[in-house]
Amino acid sequence: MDGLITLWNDTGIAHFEFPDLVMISVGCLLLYLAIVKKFEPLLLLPIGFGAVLANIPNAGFNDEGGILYYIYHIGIETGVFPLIIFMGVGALTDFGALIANPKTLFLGAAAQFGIFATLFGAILLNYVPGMEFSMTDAAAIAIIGGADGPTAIFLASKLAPDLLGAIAVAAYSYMALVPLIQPPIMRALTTPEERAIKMKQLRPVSKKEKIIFPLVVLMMTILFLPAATPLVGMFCLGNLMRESGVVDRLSSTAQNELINIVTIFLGLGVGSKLSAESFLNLETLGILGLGAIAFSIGTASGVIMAKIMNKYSKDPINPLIGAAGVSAVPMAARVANKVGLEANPHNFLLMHAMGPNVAGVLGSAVAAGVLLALVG
Amino acid sequence: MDITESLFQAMTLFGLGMTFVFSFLGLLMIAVKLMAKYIPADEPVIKKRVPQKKLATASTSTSEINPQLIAAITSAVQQYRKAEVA
Repeated sequence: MDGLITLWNDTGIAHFEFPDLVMISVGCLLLYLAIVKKFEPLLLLPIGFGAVLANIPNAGFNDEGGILYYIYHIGIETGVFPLIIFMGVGALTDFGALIANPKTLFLGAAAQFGIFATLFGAILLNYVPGMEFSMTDAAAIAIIGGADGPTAIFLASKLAPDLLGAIAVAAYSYMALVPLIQPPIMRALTTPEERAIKMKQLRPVSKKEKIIFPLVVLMMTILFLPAATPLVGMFCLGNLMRESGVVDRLSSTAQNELINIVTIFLGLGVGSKLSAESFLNLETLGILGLGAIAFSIGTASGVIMAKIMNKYSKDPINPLIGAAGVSAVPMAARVANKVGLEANPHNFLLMHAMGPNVAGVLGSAVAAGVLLALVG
Repeated sequence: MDITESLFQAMTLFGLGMTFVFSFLGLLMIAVKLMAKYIPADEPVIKKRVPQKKLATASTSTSEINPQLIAAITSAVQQYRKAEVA
């Protein structure tokens, strides 16, 4: 009889508490979104599974000695995983469109408006009972507006580790929702004639320029914002490996095997943060709401900036490409292309939108550096 | 910290942050423009004899192509483009 009771006490059923069950269903919801809806499946699948594992009673995944505990501490608390991913993203990024049309850097800068505007929102939420966000929390939440997963995880792990799970889930969910969130805002802010604007063909960019570009970016970061060098430095390393053309093996590893391996562990580590005590509260709702606002403001300010530039620039600029300034590479650029094709079926904006798109990656890394330097 | 005080701090961050992001990327733009000015473009990859041969074969082959075939391809491309529009 004693044996039976001991065995019963070892089953999951005996120990399930309501919050665990809720979190396991949140994990299953993420799995559903990844598998059926194909929302950022590369990340949401491991995150969802990590959330399920982390909430199994008596399994101790998150206690010292458990695998999720180690994955989180080795890779995410130290900031190593997001940085390795960022190196891979650098190796995947072609700056050609940006170098050919450097004005688009301003579009990438304008879209960061969403990040800083969200700071206010997070602070104002302190008026709602049950929500309490410090300045560091607010900064970590605001970075969701940068629409850049690794940057958001990196900053959250430094500034607000308790909110990391919610922030990462919000960032990746909204990145998956870019095709739904952006087009209404883009249409509301532009006229059909503006959407149909054709842009000048981009000039070919020489190999030398592409090799020197990451070095210039690195140099400027070293001089002006050393706080951003972990992010920008890894990004530039990846990009230099790609463009130099002498280390094809390393470049291909960074953009395939390495980024894939790290993505698995990053997802699991983030999932481990989706435990009942840190996720099931009002603050999570606040973070999800603020994330959507940050995205929308970023999109709108990118489009408005592009409209202003179109007025004063001698080469026409289609305002739609401004929306690609929120990074979310390459989804945001594809959305700009698609909305442009609706207005003018012969107007392919994809290459033009890649400029602000990659500028947005740099912009959000710089914004993250500013937040780290001022708040961290 | 009191909320008004935090809001004030957020305002400072907002101002400083946006100014910094704009000036950083603005400087980068200047750097890229300078790069475009001073770095010579890639020399087109020419292997001296090969293109001549290619040109020669190309010109002979165009004369060999049946004009009817060209017409057929042109109309097919036009139809494809129309289909794409619809």
